[in-house]
Amino acid sequence: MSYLHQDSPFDLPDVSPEVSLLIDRCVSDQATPEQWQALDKLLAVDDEALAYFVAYSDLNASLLVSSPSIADGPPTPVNGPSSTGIRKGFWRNSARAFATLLACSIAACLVIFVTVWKSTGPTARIVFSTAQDLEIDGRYAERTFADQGTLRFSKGSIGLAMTAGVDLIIEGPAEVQIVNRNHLRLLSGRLIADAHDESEAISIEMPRCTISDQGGRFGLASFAGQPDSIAVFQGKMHVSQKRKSHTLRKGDAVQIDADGHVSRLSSVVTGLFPNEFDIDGNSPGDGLIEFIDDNIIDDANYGFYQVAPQGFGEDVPAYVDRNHQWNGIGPEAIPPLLKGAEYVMTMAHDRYHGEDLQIDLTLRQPAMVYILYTEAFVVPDWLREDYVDTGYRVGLDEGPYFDSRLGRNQHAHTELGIGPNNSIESNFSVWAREVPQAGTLRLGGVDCRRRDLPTPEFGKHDGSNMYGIVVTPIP
Amino acid sequence: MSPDDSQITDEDFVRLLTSYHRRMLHYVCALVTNRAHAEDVLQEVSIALWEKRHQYDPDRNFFVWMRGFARNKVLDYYRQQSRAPAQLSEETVHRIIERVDAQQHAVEDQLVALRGCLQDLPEQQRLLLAKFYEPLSNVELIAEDLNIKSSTVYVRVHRIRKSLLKCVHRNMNRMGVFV
Repeated sequence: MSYLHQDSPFDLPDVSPEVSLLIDRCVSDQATPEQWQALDKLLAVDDEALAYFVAYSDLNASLLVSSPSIADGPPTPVNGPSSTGIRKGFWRNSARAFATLLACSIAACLVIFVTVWKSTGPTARIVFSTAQDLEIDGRYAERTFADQGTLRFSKGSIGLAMTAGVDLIIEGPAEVQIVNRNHLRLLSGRLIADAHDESEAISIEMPRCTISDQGGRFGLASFAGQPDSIAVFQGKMHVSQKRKSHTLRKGDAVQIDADGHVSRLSSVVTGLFPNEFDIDGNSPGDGLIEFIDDNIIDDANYGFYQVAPQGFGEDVPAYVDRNHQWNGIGPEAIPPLLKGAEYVMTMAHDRYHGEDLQIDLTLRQPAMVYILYTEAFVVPDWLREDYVDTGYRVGLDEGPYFDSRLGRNQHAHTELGIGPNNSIESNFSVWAREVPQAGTLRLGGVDCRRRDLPTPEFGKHDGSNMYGIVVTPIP
Repeated sequence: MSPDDSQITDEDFVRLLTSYHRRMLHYVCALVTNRAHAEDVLQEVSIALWEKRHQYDPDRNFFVWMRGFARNKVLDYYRQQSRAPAQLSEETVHRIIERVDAQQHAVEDQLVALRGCLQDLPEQQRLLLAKFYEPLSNVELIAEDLNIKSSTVYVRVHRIRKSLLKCVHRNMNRMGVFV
C-alpha cells in the first residue's frame, strides 16, 4: 500500500484534446469504425491514453448507475448488500434531518463570515511571483494583503488574485497600489486582468483614465512619457476620463495621451501586455511581427489586430471580435507548416470594408506569410497574383458573439466544437508567400462576392469571414 | 460441517444477486460503454451466475467471484463485436480489464468524490447530464427541448464529463485514497 503518487491510477493522465475527444466519441457511442480502430491502436501502446480511457469510462459507468439521482445532486452509493427495514429508514431520515440542520448552520456561519470578511477582510493575495526585487508596503502576511498596499518590482511577473474575484498578471517594471478590494491604481507597468464569472465590479486607476470592469479580460499598460494603452479581449468595460467616458468591447483597444486624447490602438503585438501563456518569460522575446495597421479611418472604430498569445493550432481563437476558432479539417487536421506558428487575430468585421481595406504587416525578419482565405468568397487579385495556394485547408468554427454593428447577440444557440473536423462552418485555403527580407508587406481586402461551390468534403461553406494571417521564420 | 452447510439457498443467492446488481452494472458499464449492450452483457452474467450458483462458496467475496464471470462475458461480447468492425481488439480489452480490476476497491471513494462534484455543478449542467443519462434517453429530443443541435448536446456533455473527471480526481487526491 502506498499513498497516491504520480503513477497512481487516480492521478488524471494528461492526454491531448484530440485524444480526449476521440475517447469521448467512443464512450458516447458516436465514433465511426475508423475512430474505434484509431482508439484500439492507441490503447494498445499508450498507457496514458489507456489510463484516461479507463478513468473516463469509469466515470461514465458511475453516471449511468447513478442516473436517477443526478438531477438531485449526489449519486447513490452502489455498494453491495445492505440491510433493510424500519430502523434503517429511521437512521436515514434522522441522518438527513441532521445533515440539513448542519448544512443550514454552516450556511448561516458562511454568510456571517463573508459579510464580516467583506468589510474588514483581505483585499488581494499574491499567487505567484517571479520578481526578484519585489518591495511591498502595507499590512502583508502569508502572501495576503490585509487592506491597502503597494507592490514595486523591476523585472519578472506577479500573479495577484483580488478578493473581488479578478485575477491579474502584472509584469515588471511595475508599481501598483491596492486601494481596497475593488479598487487598484496602476502607477506604471503592464497587466492583464481576468474576471471570474461571478466577480464583483472593480476599477483600476491609470494616470490618464479610470477603468471600470464589467467582468471580462483586458490588458492595460502605462509608462512615463507614453500614452496609456487599453485592450479588451473578452467582455466589456468603461473608460472614464474627467468629463468623458467610453464603452469598450471585446476586440477594442485605445491609447490615451497626456492631453486626454483617445485614439485607436491598432496593433497589439507580443510584449505590449503580459502573456498568460508565458508567465516565466521562457519564449523568445520579440516575435516575427513588429506591427500591424490598416487604412481604416473611423472615429467610432477601436478595433485592433492582435498577435495571438499562443501559437496556431487546434481550437485557437481566430478573430479579436468574435469567439470563432480555427480548426483542422480532414485527416491531416492542422497543416504541419502552420502548427505552433505566430499568427494574427484579425477583425472579422474587416470584411465589410471589402476591397478598400489595406493591412500593413511589418516583419522583423524574413518570413513565410500564409493567408487563410475563405473558399466561399471570390479570391481577390492581390492574393491570386502574389501568393500560391498550398492546397492545404483549415476550418473555421463559429461560436456565439455580440455584433456591435447590429447591437445584438449572434449564433446564441451554437456552441464551439472541440478538435478537428467538428462544427466547421467554413473551409479556408492556405495561401503562401515568401518574404525574403524584413519590412512592411501590404495585404489587400476581401472580395465578398460569393462563389457557388459544391458541399466540401469536410465541414461546410456557410460562413462569410475575414482572412487570417500566419507567419513562420525563414531560416 | 456437512457439504450442504457450505452452500447458500436459492433465495439467499437471489438476494445476493439483487443487492449486487448496481455494482455489477457499474463494473460491466466500465468495460462496455454502450448502456444497452452493457445491460445485455449483465443479463448473460446473471444467467451464468445462476447456473453456477451451487459452486459459490459463501466464504468468498461474491463480487470478486462475479467479476470472473463478467470478464468472460465481456470478452465474448467484444469477440462478437469484432465481426462487425467497429470495436476494440481482444488484446486491448484485456489491458482495459486489467486496469479496471486494479481500481475496483476504490469505486466507493470515487462515487463519494463524484457526489461532491455533482453538487458543485451549475444546475443547468446537472439537469442536462440527468436527461442525458436517463434510461432510454434520446439526444435528438434533448436537443429539441433545448433548441440546440444534437452535436451541441454531445459537446456540452463532453465538457461536463471532462470537468467532472478532473474534479473527481482532485477530490480523490485530497481524500488521500490508498491504492
